Amino acid sequence: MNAIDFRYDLLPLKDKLYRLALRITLDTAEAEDTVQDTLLRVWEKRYELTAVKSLEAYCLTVCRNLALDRRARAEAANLSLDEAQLDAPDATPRADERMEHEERLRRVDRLFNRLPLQQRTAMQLRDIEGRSYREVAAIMGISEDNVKVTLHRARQALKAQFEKTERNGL
Amino acid sequence: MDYKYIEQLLSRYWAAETSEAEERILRQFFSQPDVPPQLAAYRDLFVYEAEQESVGLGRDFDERVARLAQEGKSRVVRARRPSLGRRLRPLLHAAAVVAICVVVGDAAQRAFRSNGSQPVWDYNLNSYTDSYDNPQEALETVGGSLRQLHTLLAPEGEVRPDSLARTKTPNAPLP
Amino acid sequence: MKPLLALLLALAGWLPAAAQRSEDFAQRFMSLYADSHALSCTTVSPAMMERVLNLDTLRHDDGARHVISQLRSIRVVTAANASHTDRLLSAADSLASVNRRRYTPRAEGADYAIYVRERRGVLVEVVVFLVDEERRFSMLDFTGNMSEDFLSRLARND
Repeated sequence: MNAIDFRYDLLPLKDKLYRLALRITLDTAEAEDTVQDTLLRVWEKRYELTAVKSLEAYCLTVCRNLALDRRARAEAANLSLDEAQLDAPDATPRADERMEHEERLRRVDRLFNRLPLQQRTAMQLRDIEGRSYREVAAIMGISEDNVKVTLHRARQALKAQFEKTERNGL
Repeated sequence: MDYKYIEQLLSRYWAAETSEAEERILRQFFSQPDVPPQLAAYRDLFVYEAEQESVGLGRDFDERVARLAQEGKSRVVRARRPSLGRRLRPLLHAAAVVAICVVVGDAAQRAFRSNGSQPVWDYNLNSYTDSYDNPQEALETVGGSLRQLHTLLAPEGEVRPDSLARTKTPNAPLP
Repeated sequence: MKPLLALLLALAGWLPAAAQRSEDFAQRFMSLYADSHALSCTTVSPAMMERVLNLDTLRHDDGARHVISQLRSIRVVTAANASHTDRLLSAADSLASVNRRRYTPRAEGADYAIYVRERRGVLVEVVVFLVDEERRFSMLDFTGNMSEDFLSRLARND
């Protein structure tokens, strides 16, 4: 395997790493720091990674572990009512249709983020990042069967929510 | 158009039996404007998943991290939570200092008056400014709020729909 | 700035730890989002709650008095319209998530959530986010000395 180049091999992965970290920590600042730590850590170890088959899967694994660490540390810290990291409020009024579209997506985002940690991690890796069951299993450190069971649960939970909304005539 | 194929795919999707290619087909199908009513309920999910692919970090991230990599730094821990100075800053207006001395003195008095143990209810009394002048009006708010909480907690005779997170059920009612 | 900070720190040092006061969830939420999202807040203070408890109309309603006696305050936050409902629900979720050491989820649905803050075996705060019939965002914030019995009584259908 050729030597890893930071700009051409690692940096292009930043967005998928960010999406995974964000799904786990649910905090944009923590997610960004996690991606930075991941890239720098992998970069530091670049000479040891000659046996690694997929750099991308390796980075996702490191990212997941670092994101979990951050979550654990955030929970252990004694937090006062800190401000959550959120988009700035929108000053410009929008056409109804576009706004409705965004509100609907925001709703799905909330439902997704309300899934238990394992479920939403699996959904992120499979549904959004399009990884194979085997890769998801490797990144999450669980069996392929377990991945499928986890996805099944997550999707059933989401399905029930969507059907409920439809019934209530949203 | 025959939606049977899509319905089959969907059914297998919920059961986590679809391949990556099949899931791509579902996302493509649901991204078109004309989705039949029987499938419309699920559209938002696939549209959301497709749009999520564009979430990412900006260019300034690239420059910063590339520079750090070059400098050979491995882990940079940046303090994100406000420092003590920043948290106290709202208190540091001159006019507020007097008020603070009063509040601080008052709270200290209250603490000394108690038997020395910390009160469990630890909120700031002074932060509660009544919206009503008389208790009869306040009662309506109290009653209304409790009724709303009751509506959410009580099963209302039918099985509650799935909630996504763990739901702790309240303790069994007393006899 | 510095001499003021030193003064405050000196004062803080003099105080016993018991004097530190918390902010409730609704108050923080209002400070963050009230202006940008047209939120209003109705408050029943501990002093008013006492007066409510002593109302003649409640004299013979032991059940209601038992529940109300465990409350010290209520804040009700309401949005003027339904245009930011999902954003506000997300914001409320995020604020609770960031402060997950203090607030634990008790029940959740697509359009509502109940969080509780427990201190030394007592529920000192119960926060509810929900939407009304017109899909406007609303938040209820109860503080007090509530027991699990408080919630189970409210869950009953009588």
